[in-house]
Amino acid sequence: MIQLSKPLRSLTIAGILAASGLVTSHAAAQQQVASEVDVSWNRYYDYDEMTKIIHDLVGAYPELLTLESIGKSEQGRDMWLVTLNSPKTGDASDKPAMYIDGNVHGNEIQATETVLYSIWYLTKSYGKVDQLTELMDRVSFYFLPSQNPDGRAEWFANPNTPHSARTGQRPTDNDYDGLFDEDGPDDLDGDGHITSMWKFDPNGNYRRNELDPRIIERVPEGAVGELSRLGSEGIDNDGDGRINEDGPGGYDMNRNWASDWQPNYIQYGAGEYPFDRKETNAVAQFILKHPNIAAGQSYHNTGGMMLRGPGAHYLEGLYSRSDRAVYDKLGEAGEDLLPYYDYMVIHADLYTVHGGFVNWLAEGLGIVSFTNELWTNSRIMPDPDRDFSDKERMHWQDRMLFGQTFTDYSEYNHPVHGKVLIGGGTKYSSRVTPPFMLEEGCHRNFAFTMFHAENMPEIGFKWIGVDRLDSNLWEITIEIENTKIIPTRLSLARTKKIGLPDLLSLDGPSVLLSGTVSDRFDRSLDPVSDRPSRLLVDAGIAGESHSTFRFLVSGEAGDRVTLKYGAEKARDIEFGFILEESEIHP
Amino acid sequence: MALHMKYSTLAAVGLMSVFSIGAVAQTEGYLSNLALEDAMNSLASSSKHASVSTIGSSLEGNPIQLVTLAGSADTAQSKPALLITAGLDGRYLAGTEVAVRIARQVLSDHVELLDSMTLYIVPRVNPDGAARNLDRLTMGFVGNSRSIDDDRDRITDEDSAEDINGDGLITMMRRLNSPIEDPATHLADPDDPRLNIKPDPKENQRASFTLYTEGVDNDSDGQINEDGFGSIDLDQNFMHRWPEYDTYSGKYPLSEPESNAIAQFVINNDHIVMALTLGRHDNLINQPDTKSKDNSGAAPKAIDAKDADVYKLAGELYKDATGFSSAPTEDIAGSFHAWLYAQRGIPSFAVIPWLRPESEKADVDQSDASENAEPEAEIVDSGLTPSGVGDISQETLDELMEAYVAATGEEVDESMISMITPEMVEGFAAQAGIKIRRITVADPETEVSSSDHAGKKKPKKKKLSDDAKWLTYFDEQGIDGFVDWKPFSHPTLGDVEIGGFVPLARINPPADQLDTTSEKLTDFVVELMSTRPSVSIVGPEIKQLGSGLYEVRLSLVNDGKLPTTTAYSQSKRTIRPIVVRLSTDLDQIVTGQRVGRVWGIDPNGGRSDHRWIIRSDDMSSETIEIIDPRLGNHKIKLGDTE
Repeated sequence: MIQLSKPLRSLTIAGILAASGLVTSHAAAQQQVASEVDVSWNRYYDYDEMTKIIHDLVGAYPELLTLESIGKSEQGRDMWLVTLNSPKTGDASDKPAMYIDGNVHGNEIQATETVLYSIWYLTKSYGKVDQLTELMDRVSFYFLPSQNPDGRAEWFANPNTPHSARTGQRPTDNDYDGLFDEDGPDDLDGDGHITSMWKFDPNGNYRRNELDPRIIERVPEGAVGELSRLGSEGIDNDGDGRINEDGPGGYDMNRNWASDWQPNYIQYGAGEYPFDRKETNAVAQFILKHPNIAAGQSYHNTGGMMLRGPGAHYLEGLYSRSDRAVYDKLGEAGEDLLPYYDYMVIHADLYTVHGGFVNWLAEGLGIVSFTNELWTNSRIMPDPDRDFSDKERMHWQDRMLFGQTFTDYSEYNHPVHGKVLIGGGTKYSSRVTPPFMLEEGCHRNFAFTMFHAENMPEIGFKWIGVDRLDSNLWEITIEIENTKIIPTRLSLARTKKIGLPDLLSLDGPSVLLSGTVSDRFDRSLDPVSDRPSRLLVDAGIAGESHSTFRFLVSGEAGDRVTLKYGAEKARDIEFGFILEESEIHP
Repeated sequence: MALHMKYSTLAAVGLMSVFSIGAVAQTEGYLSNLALEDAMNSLASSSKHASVSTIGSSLEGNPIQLVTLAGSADTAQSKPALLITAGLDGRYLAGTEVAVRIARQVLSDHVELLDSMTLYIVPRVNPDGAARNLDRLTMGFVGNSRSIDDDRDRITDEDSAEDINGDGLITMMRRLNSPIEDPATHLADPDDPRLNIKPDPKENQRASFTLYTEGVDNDSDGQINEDGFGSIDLDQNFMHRWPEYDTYSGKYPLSEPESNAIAQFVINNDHIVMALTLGRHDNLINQPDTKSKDNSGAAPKAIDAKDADVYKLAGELYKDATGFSSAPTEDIAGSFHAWLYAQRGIPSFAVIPWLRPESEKADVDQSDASENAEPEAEIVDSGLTPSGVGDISQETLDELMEAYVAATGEEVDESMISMITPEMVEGFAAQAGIKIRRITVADPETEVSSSDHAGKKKPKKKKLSDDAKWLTYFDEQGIDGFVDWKPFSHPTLGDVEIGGFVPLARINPPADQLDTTSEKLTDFVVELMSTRPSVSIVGPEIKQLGSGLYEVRLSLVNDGKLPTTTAYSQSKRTIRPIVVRLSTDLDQIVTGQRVGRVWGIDPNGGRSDHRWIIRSDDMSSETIEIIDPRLGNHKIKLGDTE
């Protein structure tokens, strides 16, 4: 059934089409809600095409989107960041914000399309889809479609493997010979991809499969093979006896972040120090200037995972029971929305990561954050939960993709190894979602981040009780609730002194004492002794919960009282009332 | 917080002129930033071996200057270099003075050393912090000029210390009539009533006052001086064991322009083969920990045991040159010198350039042996935090907890802390190889003789506290290092006494001692330079094997007393190796690597041997290229050596 947003329900589909002169009837007929910008979500976009889509969207939705370049990449490409905010409900920085990026690894390309899709879907939905409109009126978004523009440009423009161009493009001496990027892979067979090389070797351990010569398999025990493995396609460009040992770049910008950063000899790819890469520094400076960011999402490929920190076992203690519960609620909802994804902990379920991006967001800045590993190759199989043999995999690749992601083996006369075979999977053969399945992946992940964004803290005055204790002495008890899953402050933020405590202030009558109480019936007040009109709330307001505060004030009946609650990661609230015996439900 | 002297101050600049006739400021005779610039420029104009440049600037725009001393400007980059750095901690002004004097003395007396080694001197990494300590009333500004909301109350720098009695100094206050809400914690030491001690119940002592830094409660929050001008401590802003959640360690490593500038300078100058940092850390008198690992378990906390000999050697040289025998210790997490060792492969020495000389009188009083036996006992209240476990400092507990987490992978349950005893700490610390840092001086005499302790014997036998030694020293030397307690009527605390140690007097000597101090340090630097790694190329030797086949041998030999890079970095490959590159085509090489990598050469004749068997029609065209990021490059034509 076609879902229509509330204001439009009375109209017929034909009426909508007639009312909207901006889209062709063809496009509108295919979409629940049309976008001003036509984007095909069954293909990939290189850096320049990505830039164009971003500009088109910003041009089409100027009231919602603002564009800035937060810096330049190593090779001088702009790092485009899109802010989505509904200005009529306030500035972006006054609202809790979700930061969403992807493609820090240049080869993990569909991360960018997933971010672009999110901007595209939200903008077209504003004013048309109630749930999303309400969300966009309450929170803001910061989108960085590609954290590694150079890696992305390199991966599309040049022959690569599914795994290469992960790095940024700063020349790096990976083999410590004093030369930089002097021996990368070479596309010897000219197919536009870096595939594999196999050497003809009478003593080799491998052979081509009899039935399908595209499969190279290990020979059984005792049998004699004909091939041995050489690795990626390439020659010894610098004549040092090694092949492809120092290609473009050669580091990992997802190991360059300040929390638990470790040097290269402990954590490969870390760089000289946190944020020594232009790209990571640009992102870090942006995020540090936006303490309203309350949720974080970074897209990668591959494996079908929603990952949270910590990245190393010795940091488990940073995740308290209550903070874990927040992640669990979001992660479990994600498993529902992304049926073939698993919610996992980086160090325990994947591998150890020092200096990872979401670790910095979560452990350094107290932002509830996930890394999603998009797509898993087994999704192309009839039963993704089962392990498949090479033969079956090839079968399904053939039946579904018609062999397009495979270059057949051909012979090549290699300068060092003589006659070799070159061929195998192209750069699109794994990690990258097959285009026909891209849109679903984008949408399901988008839905997960919307659930995450929807659960950024929203606070409100729930109940206020005013008791007159004596002619001029009043007791004001205040319940402040947070209706969402994410607390205004993670318990990590409190224990490690991250960010600023929340602040509840009472203006008007003179405040004698104030403090936190366990509930409105609690008669014992452990007052803060100093500046009682400013009650610092380091614990914040927990998710789906409320906290109770009490002020003893001296004032006349009829005095005006103003309460304000400020939190870095929630929208500040304010409420005024007149001093009189009452129960108020704001 | 009231006693956290490192980070408090007076912002009321307007009041300063009133006090300028008060007690002598401890910083008199020290170089202001402008005077330092002049001193640097005159160094450069006085000698062709000196040049001055700027490696960056502070938050407030003050230049961070570098003086390069070299045989000639052309060769500065191609010789191994010693980097001397001072003034990371704004309080340690003496380091800057010493660094400038070392430069002068090397130029006047040891210029020949510069033919084989370049000397880089950065005398003041933190000019903003120095200026604060020099220009204003101070309790001691550690950091740079980035303001911090120390007490996290969403108001910054709202309550700093003041010179309320107008004596030109910010000292301490004794609150004499402590109310119930603020019970007395200290009493005047019966042996010297100028000193504050904590009551010893065994001595039937009772506390009689509370201690505060001098000032008022500017923001009426009930706390005095809890949020003065606090800023980033540059010496906690580096990558090795960066204390991420410390209030003063910065938002991320190298977040500050000053720490970033000095780090970039190091990263861009691979030929720095050793480093000497003058500041608040010492790893020569107190030899560095060789046993403990950092959180990750992958790197040493201080140094790897394989490098212990290097530090022993430098330590002996240092003690010989200076006569110092004890020095305080401080946590080195996030420090500059620790990073140089752990991530740059540099033997990195840290010294506190001026220390209180051991008083002869004090030695007599202490009846011999115990004086030097227990260096830990010297450490008194040097910024250590009480932990609640006997006299064990919180810093030690933190180290232990880190070690526990590293060893077990489990987070420490905070409730465990309340159950442990000092003895348990000692046991665990011994296992983990962690040095225990105590809050108060252990008094072994008292413990041993507790059964028959008679009050009479004590004054003679009692070991002097660090504070007491300072007083003795100031008294003997006639240094105005202490302000006698004087009554004062405080606006909110009532009757107080104001007095105590003159800020920075225990960190920086009177300016007239700087020359002597610097001479000792120069002697050490000269000795240290003589230990530099010195690599010579032996060979090549070429042997004809017949039919156009040749055997080529070449060795790199280090005759210095220090390795080219630390043993730790050799094993971990933390920095760029020496590359030995043979020109011969790969298919002409029968044996040997065309491109060899040498990760470091041990000292005292340590060698790296290379051997090739090659085929060649024309040996005269073959070369061996040695690309050495630390000691310089060489290209050898094999033809020349036949």
